Amino acid sequence: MTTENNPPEITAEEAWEQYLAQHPPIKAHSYPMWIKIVAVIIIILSTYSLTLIPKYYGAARTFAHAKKEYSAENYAEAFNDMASVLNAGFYSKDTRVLMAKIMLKGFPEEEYENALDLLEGLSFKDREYKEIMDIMPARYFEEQKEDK
Amino acid sequence: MIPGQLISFFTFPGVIVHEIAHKFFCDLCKVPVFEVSYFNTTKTPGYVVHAPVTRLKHSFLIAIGPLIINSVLCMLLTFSAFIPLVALDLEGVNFVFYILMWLGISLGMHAFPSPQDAENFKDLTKATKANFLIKIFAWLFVFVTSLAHALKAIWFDLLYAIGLSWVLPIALGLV
Repeated sequence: MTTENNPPEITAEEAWEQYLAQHPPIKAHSYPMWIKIVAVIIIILSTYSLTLIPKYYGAARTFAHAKKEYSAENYAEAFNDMASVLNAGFYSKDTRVLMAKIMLKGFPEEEYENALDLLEGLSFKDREYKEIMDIMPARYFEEQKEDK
Repeated sequence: MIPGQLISFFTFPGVIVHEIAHKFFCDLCKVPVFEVSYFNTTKTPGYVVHAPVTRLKHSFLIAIGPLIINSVLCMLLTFSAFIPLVALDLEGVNFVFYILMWLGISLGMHAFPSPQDAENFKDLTKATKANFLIKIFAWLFVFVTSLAHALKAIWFDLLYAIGLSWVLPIALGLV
């Protein structure tokens, strides 16, 4: 013999009424203290980051400009842009590779050694490697043969 | 923990801001809010219980609130981090940039309204006997949010957040 102890059935409206009785409306535009504290911390971090941005912002604009000049084959302009980026200390893989490409395409005789110095120690994906090999002057491949 | 819950766990600021956005628009539209879970570790990581909405405009605003607020905050928070980390590809920069990038991407990943948010709007178009164009719009809204929800399986939410982080830098000629 089993006994069933089902709760009395109530309609959705009655359930909603019961819910409302237990949950009075929350005051408009009020948020828990921990949310306010986190929001203040985020505002402080964002403001602090904005104070750090100016030196990066100018370099990023110049870097973007250098890419355009390189694509337009204005190598002297691109070289000057990248020289200012690198002189400001922004040595990343992307900045080094772009400067090396500018040197190899625009000034293969004068800047060949400097371009190789910039590329030294970097690792490349296949596509990146091919892009660089495509613009490497013949001198590089001759040196490779001699080394072998 | 299933992957969706795990993602919510690692991007919890986005869930919190998503629910804040719903509540903010409820308050703006003078719709009483009875309960808010800003973040929890269940299958529904956050929710807002509010009174039934009677105006279509309010229902739509409450539904798309997170899309507006999370998206705008994602663009703003990632902007300063984007410059050294992506535009210049620098390593070892100030840790604040990494925190802001994580925060911004987390917010962007939770910008899309849930299919339930869109369903609420669609249900109201039925209940209020809205005109044909609004009903079509409601169906489209449900379709887009459901599609976005389904595409989370292939990281649409992450791609959307990454896309947002590129908006300001592109507009300002930084990339």
